[in-house]
Amino acid sequence: MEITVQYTGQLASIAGVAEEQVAFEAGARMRDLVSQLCERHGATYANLVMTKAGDLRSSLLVILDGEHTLGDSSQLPLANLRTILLMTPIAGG
Amino acid sequence: MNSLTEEDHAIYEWQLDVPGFGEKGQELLRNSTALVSRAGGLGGPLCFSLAAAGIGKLIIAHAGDLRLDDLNRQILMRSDGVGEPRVESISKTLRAFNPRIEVVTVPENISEENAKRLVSEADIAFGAAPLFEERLLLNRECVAKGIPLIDCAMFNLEGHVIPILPGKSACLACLYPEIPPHWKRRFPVIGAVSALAANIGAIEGIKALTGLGESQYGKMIHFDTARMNFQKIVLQRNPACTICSSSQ
Repeated sequence: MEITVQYTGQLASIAGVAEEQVAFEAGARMRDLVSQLCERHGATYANLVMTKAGDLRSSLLVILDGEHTLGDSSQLPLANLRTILLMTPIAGG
Repeated sequence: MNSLTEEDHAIYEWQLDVPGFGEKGQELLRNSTALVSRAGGLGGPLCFSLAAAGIGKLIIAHAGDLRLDDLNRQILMRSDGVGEPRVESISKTLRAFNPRIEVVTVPENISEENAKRLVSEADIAFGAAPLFEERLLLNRECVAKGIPLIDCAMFNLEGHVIPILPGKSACLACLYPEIPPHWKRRFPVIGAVSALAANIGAIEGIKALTGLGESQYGKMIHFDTARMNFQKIVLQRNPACTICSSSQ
């Protein structure tokens, strides 16, 4: 199974892509996907999306199939999702 | 409410023709006060567009002296003002451009000391500061006063605008309950990208003040100029938001 992961802001710069296809196993949850991505993209990426305790950062905007989600989405199953957009906060003026 | 003069008609006649705007919209704009937090690469063109449209009064908060490395994007500034307070360049440029509007410059950034007072003088606020501390302070005071906040931001080749109507749409603290720890004061910027975010913010502000079109409260208008993608994302209010959850 595959899902499209999109990035904006600093995450897009660090990942070096605005969008990528990521394979996942049946039954995988958001947390599994993020762990896989952190491994793929390295420590700076991981630091932007996760706390030291392994939770998604509260300032990371998570958009699932175009819908903004509030709160901890780490346990959400991926099976019915097609696109995840991860947005790091920006304040350039 | 001050009505339009003959000179106003002469200057603004092309925008008086905009359906849904007209004399009523121009009068509403003329009688409105906007607070702009920082007039750099983003806030500068935003002020320019509000001034061009004929806003009644601009209150512009921006500290510090002009530097050479501001000049790639801060279009209200003047090369002959390097080393001098930015607000001096801002005043000179805006007054030369449209002397019929009132421009009040404050040589300070938004802070705990001035945020409440400055917001109390405005009908609408625009957030264009490079630090979340300032943006969240402005958000808090706009929610407390119940006035619209148009938060505009950019990074690299992308940007977004979040129009906020306190009590009705997600506020900035709903999205960022804490200061994002990784944001850095220095960010990659080309002025045209800042100006694009600024002008989306300016038209949202004009709409909020005049009732023109459909305000995009509760949405993030996001653009990526590298790929020329534009999208709108519906934002959820946080029922546990410490800033706006008690606002209805």
